[in-house]
Amino acid sequence: MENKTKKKVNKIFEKIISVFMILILVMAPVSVSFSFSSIEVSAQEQRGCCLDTGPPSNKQCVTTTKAECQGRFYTGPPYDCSNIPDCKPQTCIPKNKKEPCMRNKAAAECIAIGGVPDPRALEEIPQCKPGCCIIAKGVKAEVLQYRQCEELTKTLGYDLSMMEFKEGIVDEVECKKIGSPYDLGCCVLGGGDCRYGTRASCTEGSFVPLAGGLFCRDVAACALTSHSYKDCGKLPGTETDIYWFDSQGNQEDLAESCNYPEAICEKSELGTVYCKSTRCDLSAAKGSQKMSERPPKVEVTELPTTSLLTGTSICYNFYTHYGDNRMLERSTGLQNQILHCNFGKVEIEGLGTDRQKLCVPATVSDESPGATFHANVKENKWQNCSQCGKGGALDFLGDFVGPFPPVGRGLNALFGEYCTKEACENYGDCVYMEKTPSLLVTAPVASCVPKYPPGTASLHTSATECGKCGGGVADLWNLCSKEECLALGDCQFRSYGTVEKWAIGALLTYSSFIVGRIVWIPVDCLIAGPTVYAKAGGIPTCYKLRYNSWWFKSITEPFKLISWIAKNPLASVTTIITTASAFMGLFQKIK
Amino acid sequence: MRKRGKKGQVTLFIIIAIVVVSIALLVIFLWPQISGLFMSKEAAEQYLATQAIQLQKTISECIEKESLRAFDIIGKQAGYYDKTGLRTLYFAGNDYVVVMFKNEAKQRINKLPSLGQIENEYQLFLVKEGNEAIDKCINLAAFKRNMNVDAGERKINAMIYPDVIILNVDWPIKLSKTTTQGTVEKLINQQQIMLLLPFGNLWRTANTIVDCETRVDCNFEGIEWDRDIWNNPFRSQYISKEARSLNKDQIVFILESSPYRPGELPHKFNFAIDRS
Repeated sequence: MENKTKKKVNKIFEKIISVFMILILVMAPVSVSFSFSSIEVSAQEQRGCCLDTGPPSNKQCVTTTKAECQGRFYTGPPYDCSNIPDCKPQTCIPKNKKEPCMRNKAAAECIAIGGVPDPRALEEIPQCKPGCCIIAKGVKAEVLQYRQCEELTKTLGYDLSMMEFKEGIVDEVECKKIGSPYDLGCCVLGGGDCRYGTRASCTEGSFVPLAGGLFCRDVAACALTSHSYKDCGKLPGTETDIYWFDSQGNQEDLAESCNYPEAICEKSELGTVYCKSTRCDLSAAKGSQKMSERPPKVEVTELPTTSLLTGTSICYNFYTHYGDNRMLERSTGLQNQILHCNFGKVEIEGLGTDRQKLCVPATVSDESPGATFHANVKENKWQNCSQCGKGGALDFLGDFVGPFPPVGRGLNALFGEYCTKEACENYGDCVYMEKTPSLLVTAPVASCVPKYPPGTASLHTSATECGKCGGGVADLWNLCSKEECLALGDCQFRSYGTVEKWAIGALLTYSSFIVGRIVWIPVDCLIAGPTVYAKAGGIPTCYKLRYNSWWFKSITEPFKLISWIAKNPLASVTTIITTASAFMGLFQKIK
Repeated sequence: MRKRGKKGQVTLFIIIAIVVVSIALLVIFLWPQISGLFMSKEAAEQYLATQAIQLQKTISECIEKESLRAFDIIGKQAGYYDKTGLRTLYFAGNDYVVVMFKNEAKQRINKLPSLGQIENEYQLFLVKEGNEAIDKCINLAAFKRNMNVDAGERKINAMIYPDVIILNVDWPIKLSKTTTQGTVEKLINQQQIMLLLPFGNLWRTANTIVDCETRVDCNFEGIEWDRDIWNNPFRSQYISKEARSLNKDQIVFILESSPYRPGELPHKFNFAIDRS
């Protein structure tokens, strides 16, 4: 019986094992393939530097996954190809000579487009040097690189000996003036056809030299009507003015000077030509913001001009709404801008709503093209303003005793770094915001804040920056004011409630009384020690009594102060002075 | 018996009606071919000449339309059709391709494509979607209803100039029409197409900005911007620039051409730089 049961159990056990073995056999290849495929996927998804993605995208030296890379693939770090010699930035000399040399192209990319990478700087490569390219004594005058000049000369069908290259001249107008054609005349093509131009350009006809206001119309062999229509000058150096043209399209004498850069010849879509003013009309601009003497208050100032010449620029700045009734909300989105004038169109260069870049008028020392107005960019160095007066190990103590006479200022300086107006301004674009003035020997309550409130749009520390409000000199007594709040950046001021104000006021008054007493004890005991406490032990006894008696009592039993004041008139007077100074600060805060 | 006879008559009439309608439809549908069969050779030649002009015009318009779309995409993506592997900056709902950045070794890298590379990006556009869109637009099947159209391999090359883009279209097409008098053939090729698009000047402006930014001592802002206008009045006249700083190191540039020729449309070239 027992044997039978055992056999049955064994059979069941064998069955279970066999099923388990089958499962292992079935699952093993699946799991192995799964594990291999996951390795494959992770390898394919690994990012690194790809030397060439291959067709169709054909990108060289890009950070991508191995799956998207057909060329050599380098795993990082660094992942951005910076340590791959083939991706080193070099000057690229393209294969097509019509194209200019390009700076800092990855060598592999340059080679991929058939170019030649050159480790030298662009200016050091003779064929890449920019300059004024004058072809055939003024048939063409353009600012190009040397190799492009050579190519253009050949394309126009001239021998390279007809090419003149004036290195370093990169001003289009200057180049065209230098390259303005001379040796002008009329090319008689026969059958009454004529073409006005240089001797060099007359390859298909007989050249009749002309000078002193003579044109093809003065040549008998030319059958044409003079002053047929007006157009912008076509010959190099004449493009800015309006000229007469004959019926065969030959340029004749000047019809109207546009007095460039004031105006330039323009052809409308209907084909009529006119002198188009290059000036930009700024009369619609309402005015820019300027920081007042007491930032963050701003003043709205008129723009320095209502009409801007082409190629010049002015600042158009916005910092905060404070003091400017046109804007009633916080300073989100406000930025410094540069308005550039480009042939009657105003181009806006926004310097960022984080206000890390500021627009300032260019100084005289700046090399300025043209004349009059130019704007420049400077960095807003506000980041270290809040560091003024910080850094000492015992800052807390210094800040605590700072506003109290007679030794507040001295103790403040002793316990930590002391922030003055001069020190604050040395921290960058910072301004000293005094809340309670210094009374001879007391430290003021003040903050060192950014002169130009930074925007906090893209700053990760916006909350931290706004939270620094009321954290300046004597920051225990420094309450956050609206001015300071707005000066710190894109912050919103929330004023204290009436109950809050009186609670803080009472606490401050009481604290200042106590602190006032503490800081006056040395003076008090210098007088009372040798007189009142002469018999009881002098100054040490005075100290002991002062610290052990009323100090603790005034904390635990404030009403005892009244009886103490009645008994100690001298000490009371000094304490009242101290309290008054604290009140002044408080009053300013509440106001 | 009578009933059955009537039923048979009705069925016969229906069958005849179906046959007649089918023949009519077939004739209407195949009428161009059928009528063409009875054309004289001269009339067929004349017909092919007219159709050739129509076909060339359609091809030209379709290629122009799709190419303008291509360069619109390419312009807005800093000269690239395919942005794979390129860095981008997100600003105001758009991704801008970063064409100048510092790598981890603090070297400034210039990713602005050369004009040759842009021409290749146009080819990529054709492969990916342009050719299909052009075929759909031309609809050769409609022309094939009236004549035989044997189209060869199509090659379109773009050449970028300062003021225009020239498209060289190489697409030989043999048109033929069979008449009772024989088969008339006409071989056509396509003309150059000119896009009124100052892409070369837009690129040159972008290249000036990137060239400055790749130099250690040059930031294209303030006075450098003025200098570019001052030094290049003939290019700057019809190109306007706009810059938006995301922060002190990341700037998005939006260049736009101002149309000054009949039929010209404004065109954009957008890119970003990252000095961080």
